[in-house]
Amino acid sequence: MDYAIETRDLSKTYNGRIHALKGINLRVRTASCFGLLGPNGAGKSTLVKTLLSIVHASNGAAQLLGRDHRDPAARKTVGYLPEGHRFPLYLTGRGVCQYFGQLAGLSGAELARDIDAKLALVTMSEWADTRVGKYSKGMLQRLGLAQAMLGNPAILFLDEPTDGVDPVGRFELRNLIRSIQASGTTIFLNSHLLSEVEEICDEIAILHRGSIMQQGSVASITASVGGHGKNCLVTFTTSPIAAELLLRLAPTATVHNDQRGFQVSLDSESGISALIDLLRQNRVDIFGIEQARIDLEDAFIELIKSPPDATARTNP
Amino acid sequence: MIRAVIGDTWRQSKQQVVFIVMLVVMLLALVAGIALPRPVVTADGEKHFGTILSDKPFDYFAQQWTNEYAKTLLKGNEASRNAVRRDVFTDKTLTPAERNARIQVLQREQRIARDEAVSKATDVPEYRRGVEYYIHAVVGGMFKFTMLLFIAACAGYFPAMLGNGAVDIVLSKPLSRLQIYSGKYLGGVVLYTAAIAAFCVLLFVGIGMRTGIYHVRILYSIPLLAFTAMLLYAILALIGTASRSATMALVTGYVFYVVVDSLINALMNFQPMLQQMGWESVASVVSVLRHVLPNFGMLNDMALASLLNMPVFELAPFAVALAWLFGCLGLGYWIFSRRDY
Repeated sequence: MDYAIETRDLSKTYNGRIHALKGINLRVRTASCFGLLGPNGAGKSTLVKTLLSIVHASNGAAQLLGRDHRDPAARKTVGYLPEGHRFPLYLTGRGVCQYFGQLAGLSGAELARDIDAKLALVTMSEWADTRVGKYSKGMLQRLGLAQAMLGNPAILFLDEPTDGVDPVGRFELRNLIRSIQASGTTIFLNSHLLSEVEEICDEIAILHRGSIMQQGSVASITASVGGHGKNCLVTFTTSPIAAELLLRLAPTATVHNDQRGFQVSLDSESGISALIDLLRQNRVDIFGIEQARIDLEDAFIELIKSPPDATARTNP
Repeated sequence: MIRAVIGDTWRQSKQQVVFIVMLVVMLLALVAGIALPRPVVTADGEKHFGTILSDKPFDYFAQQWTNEYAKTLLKGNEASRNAVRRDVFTDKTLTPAERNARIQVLQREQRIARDEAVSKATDVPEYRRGVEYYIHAVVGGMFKFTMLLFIAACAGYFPAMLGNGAVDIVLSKPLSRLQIYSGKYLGGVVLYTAAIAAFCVLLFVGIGMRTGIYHVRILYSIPLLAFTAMLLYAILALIGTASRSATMALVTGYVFYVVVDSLINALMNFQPMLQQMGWESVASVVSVLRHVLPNFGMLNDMALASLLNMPVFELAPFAVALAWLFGCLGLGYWIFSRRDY
């Protein structure tokens, strides 16, 4: 099966007037890590909840591993860590895992072993028998991830998984997500932390006002808003000769002068080569040449600022 | 998987003070109920019902048995008696003589019921009557009181499950919403039925050992008592699902169990008087209410009357309660299945 998740014109309208999702068409490859980005209120959580039938779709269709998403059996191999989850305070960490594991159809010694393994994976073993009422936010997130991983689901929906987790914990969670994906699980990551998504995900979609504005790899999305990799930054020593040379480049380059020397930005490959040749001929010391690229955050902001219809597309 | 939902209801209950109080009250009622009675043999060698508090016989329960029996017999033909009563006071074509004759019919029925009760009483030894009514009082008292605690304990089951952030993971599991709703409902029902059943079985054995009378009819009351609790819990489930508020469910539960029930019973008692005063329309409304709203008092009375082997089973309150049970469960599930969380 090529796609773990597929949606076709999936829509959700609340009270007949609030359009939370507008005809979403998504395809998430099996065993990939898919990131869903969007500003607050874009409809990210609604999309995940609709895929899991927590929210009923108004129109359209969706499939999880080839099954209609409304069929309870489709959720048999799905794990879910919701945003802002609340576990029953009367349960211990192990009790939470046991309860949700049983609801997922697991039982007996197999479940007990799985609980121990998953709690160890999220480094929560020593807190397993403590009531969740005493857990910190970060511990609750890790416990949430443990319960979502029970039964080794084929698809794992993670809604803001690093919310409330400290930097070290975030780093560990990222590594954990990578290792889960490496084992063949499809990860659907919902996050507003762009750097996190950029680092982990193979493919992303940007959701804005209920519509998918862009879908594709990080590179293809940044490229689509102007980050084609040709923008180069050359830094070299400050000297009268260098200043004179820069006058010749003025029409095609942007020049900054700081403590490190001159920094010249060029956006054509021929310009870069010409500058380097010129500098070397005049024995000007070059400190560095680096490719300047638009990162995901820049692309995201650029896309969000644009009207939805003008940018909505899927990149290869 | 449903077992997990039921199990969670038990874990949730264990954390509630009011549920623990309910179990403690049941336990105390059980211990006191078993410890208190004992047979007292008088100088003439006759065995009487007595208590550990006194060496003298305590015949009050045996007398109450007869009174309760007469009352139950009258209740059995209450509908036809009400019809006659209505005719007596509203039928303008009746002559005074005819009216008097009908009043005499009513009075005669009252006498017959009393006589039948007394005659029945003579078939049952006084000692046994005392023990049976004692059981009736213990089970009835325990049930009425623990139902009040049961409402407080169960009011939060559904709202807690449906709270923001709590319901998401449950709904993401491979369970249908019908399984989730019915599992949560069955969880509460199983808990209370198990508690009631354990109470009745232990009381049956305990009182049997203390008095020598193993009154099997204690066990007969379990289904009707459980049914009453099921109905009340179905109402709590509906309100809890619709409002997602434990307070709202709690208040509604008490309104139904205490206020509405008492009001209907009071109005029913006043019904003959209303007819007598010519307030036919008000009397009709009361009559309709009785067949529209669930009457926990009557269900409770039927359950307790079965303890005394009384020939009383009114279909109307049972049918109304059954309709409410399925109506509330159906509506509650419908709301749960359609709502977005």
